[in-house]
Amino acid sequence: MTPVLVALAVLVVVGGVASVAAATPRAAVLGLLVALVGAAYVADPIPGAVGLGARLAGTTLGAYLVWVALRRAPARLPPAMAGWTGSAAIAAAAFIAGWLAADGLGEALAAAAGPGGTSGRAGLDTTLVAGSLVARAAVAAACSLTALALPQVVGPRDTLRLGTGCLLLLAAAGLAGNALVGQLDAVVELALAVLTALAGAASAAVIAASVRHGGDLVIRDAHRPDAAIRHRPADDAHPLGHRELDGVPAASRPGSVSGPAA
Amino acid sequence: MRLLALLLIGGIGAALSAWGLHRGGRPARAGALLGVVALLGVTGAAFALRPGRIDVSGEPVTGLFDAHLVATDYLRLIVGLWGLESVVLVVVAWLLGGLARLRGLLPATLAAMTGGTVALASADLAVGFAAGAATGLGALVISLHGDGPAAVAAAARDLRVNVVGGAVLLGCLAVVPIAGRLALAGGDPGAAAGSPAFTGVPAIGLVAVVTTLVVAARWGILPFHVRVSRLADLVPPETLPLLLAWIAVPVTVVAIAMVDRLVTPLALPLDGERALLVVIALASMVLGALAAMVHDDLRHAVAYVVVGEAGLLVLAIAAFDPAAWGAGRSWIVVLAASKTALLVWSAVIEDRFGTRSVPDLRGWIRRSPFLAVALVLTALATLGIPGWIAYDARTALAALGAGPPWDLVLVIASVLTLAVYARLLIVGTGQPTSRVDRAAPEWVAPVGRTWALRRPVAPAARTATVDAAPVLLEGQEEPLPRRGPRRIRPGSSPTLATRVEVAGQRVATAARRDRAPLLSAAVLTLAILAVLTSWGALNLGSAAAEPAPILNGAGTD
Repeated sequence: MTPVLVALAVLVVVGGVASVAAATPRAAVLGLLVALVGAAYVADPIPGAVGLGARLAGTTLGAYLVWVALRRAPARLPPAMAGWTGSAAIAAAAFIAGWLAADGLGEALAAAAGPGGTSGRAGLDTTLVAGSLVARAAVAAACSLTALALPQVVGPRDTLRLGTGCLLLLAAAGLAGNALVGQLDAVVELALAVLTALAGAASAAVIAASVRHGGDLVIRDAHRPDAAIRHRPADDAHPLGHRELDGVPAASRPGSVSGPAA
Repeated sequence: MRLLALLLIGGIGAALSAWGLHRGGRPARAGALLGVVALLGVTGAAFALRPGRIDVSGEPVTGLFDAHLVATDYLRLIVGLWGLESVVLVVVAWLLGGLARLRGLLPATLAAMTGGTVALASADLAVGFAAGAATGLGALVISLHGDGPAAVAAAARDLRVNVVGGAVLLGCLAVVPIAGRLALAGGDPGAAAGSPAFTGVPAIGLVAVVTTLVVAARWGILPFHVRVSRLADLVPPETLPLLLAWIAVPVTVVAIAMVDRLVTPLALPLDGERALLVVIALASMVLGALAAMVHDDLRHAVAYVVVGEAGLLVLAIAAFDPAAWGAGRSWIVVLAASKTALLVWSAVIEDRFGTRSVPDLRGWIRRSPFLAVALVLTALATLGIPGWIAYDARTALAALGAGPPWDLVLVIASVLTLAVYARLLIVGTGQPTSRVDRAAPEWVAPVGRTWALRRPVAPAARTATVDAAPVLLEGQEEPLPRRGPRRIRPGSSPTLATRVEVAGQRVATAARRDRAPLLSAAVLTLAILAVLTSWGALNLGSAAAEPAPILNGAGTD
């Protein structure tokens, strides 16, 4: 079972890369779904049926709502921050760093526990101390998803990638909990599932609003002139609104080149 | 069961009111009515909760979901007070702009109260953080109602603050037991590099700082203040109490519980982290008050007052002392209640005088003396007097956050916002501007214009008009015939729906006729509630000092 779960952790990271680097909404949401659903299962021991069912329902619902909101979005997404190669490189580096950090953390915890295997403190029967590869893979995947998501939420350019970044961070928090806390309580799993579904719904609402107001997914913050310039549409030299300025058609305004002859 | 009833009423009420209010017409009226009924139900259920379901050590005895959700005195106090203030807020919003102004406020309030109840009742910190993050998402219901790209940008900021904050707090919760174990394993604060304690102590400190920053982001404390002013520009002013004060309360309470339960008992040397957090608190209090003073935009000024006074919350975490538990939780309630009164005062002032510019409000007290009384009471509730909960919490947090003489500096910094109240009052005593002069009077109109309902008239004349504006469809030249007023024929027995509609329209007409005094009365009510909270009504002191019903967290204690 362990190799499958470690492979699943890698698949989660691949899904995360696809969700932030894909050029089409379909691929991005598919990657997001893989990352969110898979993250719930990278745990040792695997959570109970109630918890897993709740996480599956919550993550699927969250990703589905994002997909529904993208129906009227443009077929091509705004350019990704790092592209496929860059995102994959970031994810791989973070995965390796996370694996090594988990390795060191496990050894430090084992040393802190003493020769008897217990520190005398309550709790913390995590598999990380016992040297579980799944726990290491979970920490590594959490680091990887965090590295992928942080740029999307720190300087968001479009609503889809902002929502994706938020959901990936939630998945990373769940992975960290799986690895560091041990088996989560079913109620905690349920709470995480509800939060994921609500975060998906909120992301979907923001995406739908951006499509409704601007026709695309770009976040146009009036207080960020750099964002406005970077995402200036190609045909903004003569915006439609200027033609009807003050109720006077552009062609009949004084000084207009194409205006009627005096 | 009462806790379950509260959650069900809140959740269903939020869904139904959102559904109805988005449709307009009769469904909107029904949605608003259902929402108000649900709000009253949540408030009543909150006060009917039977607290004391935890033992002296904080272990839950009974509750929902196998004691994962437990009613406490503090929960009853916060949700009850939140409900009372929300009822007044809803009335204010309706008076300011009818059902359209309730479209975002009512569902968001109910949803936030439901999520907040889960967070505050949670016996598990992870559930509390998840519920706290979900509570914050209720803000999107309001911010997405704005027009244009600015609404998208504001909603994106809200989404980021809440979900990222929730994820970070959940991550911190996962890290704390491990870091605490490493920190305690070394036993020596001056541990050598490479030892477990060398890693554990900074990790715990980092968790404390990050937790505080998440709370700071939710309240708009410096350096996260930009979101607050932009939000104030975008949303209707009567929604600001929910967005800037109440919605951040649950996650703040859970964050303080985490630090108190998992970090403070370790008694680690976190002087550097404490100093950093005290600097953040001091900067927020001083710069927030300064920004509120120099801003001529009333909405910005009151929003920065919230930023400045919320800085004191940072000290509740920075103290790393069990004694800060009660004081911090008391200050949260006092802050939310007093800032609700201030923000609603601002909304009513803006509506009455038609301006957000403070200089243009010169002489406002002459037209609105009741609002002046409300502002004075709000300032009093903020400051408190010796013996009041607000005063004691302020001094205790300052003393626990930093020893002498810095505690005096912190206390002085925390009352700097009083200068803003003084400025607003001084502006109000000047010669009235033309805007102020032509504003509606605050007092109840004389005979013939009283807001009291008219006595029933003869049955033949009992009518109620039903709005039906002329509509021209495509290709139609004549307007549709206007639907006549609903008439109750003599001798016939009107249906219940007709009776309710007629009564509702009479109340609406009467209330709108004298909206100025009614709005002032609502603001005054909120100010009095704030004063009572600041004084310690509803047994705030002991409720805030009771232990949190936290089950987990045994990893480090």
